[in-house]
Amino acid sequence: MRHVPEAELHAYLDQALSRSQCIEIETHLAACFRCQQERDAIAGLRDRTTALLAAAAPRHVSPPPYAILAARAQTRRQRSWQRSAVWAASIAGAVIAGWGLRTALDPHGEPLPVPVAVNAAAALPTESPMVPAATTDSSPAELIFSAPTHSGARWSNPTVRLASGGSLPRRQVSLPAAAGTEDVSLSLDDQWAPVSLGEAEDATGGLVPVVPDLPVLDIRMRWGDGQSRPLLIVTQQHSSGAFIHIIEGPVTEVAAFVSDQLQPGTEVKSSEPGRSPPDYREAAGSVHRTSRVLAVVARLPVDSLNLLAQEVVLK
Amino acid sequence: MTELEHLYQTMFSSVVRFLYRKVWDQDRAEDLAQEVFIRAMAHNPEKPRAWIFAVAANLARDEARSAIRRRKHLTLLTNDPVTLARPDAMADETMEHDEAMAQVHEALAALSPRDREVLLLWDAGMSYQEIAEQTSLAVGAVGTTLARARRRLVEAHDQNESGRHAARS
Repeated sequence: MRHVPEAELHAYLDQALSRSQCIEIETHLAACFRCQQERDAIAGLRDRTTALLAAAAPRHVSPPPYAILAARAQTRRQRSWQRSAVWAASIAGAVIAGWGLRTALDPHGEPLPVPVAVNAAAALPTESPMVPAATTDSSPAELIFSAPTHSGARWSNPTVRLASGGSLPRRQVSLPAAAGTEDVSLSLDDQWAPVSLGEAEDATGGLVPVVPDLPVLDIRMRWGDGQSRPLLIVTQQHSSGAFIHIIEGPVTEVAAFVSDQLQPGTEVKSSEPGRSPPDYREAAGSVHRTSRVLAVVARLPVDSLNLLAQEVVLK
Repeated sequence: MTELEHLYQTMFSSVVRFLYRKVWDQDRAEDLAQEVFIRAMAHNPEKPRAWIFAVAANLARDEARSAIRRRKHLTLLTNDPVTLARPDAMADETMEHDEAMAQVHEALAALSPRDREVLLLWDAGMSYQEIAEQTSLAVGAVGTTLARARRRLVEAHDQNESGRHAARS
């Protein structure tokens, strides 16, 4: 007589066998005292195991509402999408930059049309920045226009051409540097000159970084080599009352400035740097590109600063 | 109610229990279980039950590796051996219960990783078929593995208990 193997008896007691297998085993068990004893022993072992594992169970578990987890999953999806979008824009920017530079450097090549409008915010063009021709910046918050060529009247065009084909006059806002806002958290030397918003726009071609809907308290500017746009610090007041400083300029200068401000012992923190439109300048018959970034510096948590940095527009 | 929401309502405790016996920290087990379901929402897997336990096992494995790294780091810092994580203290429970949990912890640690995995998956309510898919065992081998795991768990527990009695007397 073939007895029921131990593993099969475990599977039988765990209800893991088919109906026909169960019938076969039950038929055998009815006639085999040895297998009955084996079954009972395994049933005892099984109960003992269950009891032991129950002793090693966590205390009362109360799952959070499903809606909370769903909201967290949604937030994570959005962040993932934003990261993907930035990567995609960066790659596209690099490709277009190479293409534009090659066009500029190839005297025998056919002139190619100027790239037009990749624009996530074209529906809100009145505050739009002017970006020079062949600009390949990939900041998702930025508008890209078929703007005048990078030579000549690069920053002097008084109108902004929209992706839709229309144009608007550049907004001239005169905002005097606020008195009494020497603030606060930054240490600035004499090279930083207070300027009005109009002056800052003129010096940067309209690329003044601000967080919309927050009051601008102060704008400081520092000229670099004279051929690039100046380094800018725009001070605004957050709804919490905190002063925030948006620093925009060439990568190396922003990095050096921010690291100077983040000295141990201060509560000043910085967002992660975000890309802003690069500088292009001609020298010896070629075009040089200088990458620029912006960062938000304040006495706020880094997460808050990163969110604020995402809201910055260049106007 | 979606299938995933239904699974969340019915399986969350099982997933926490499964994770708890791997990380031995209830808060951490609940955090990891939430992470499992958040990932499930993002991936919308075809076989959510099996997927959930597979991800839970992976997260627990990552957690164990991190714990080992932390322990090594602490050991380097203090130059003292750092003991293994123990079940968290249960102030509201009796000493006996606390001790019983520690004994099961030790007994489970005496099993091979595969035997332990199969036993914990079975205790979490998975079928033989699901256990086989997750552990790459043949369905027929699940019963054999489970039989061995049960036997060894009880033997290890009894040995530890008799050792403690001998030490006391």
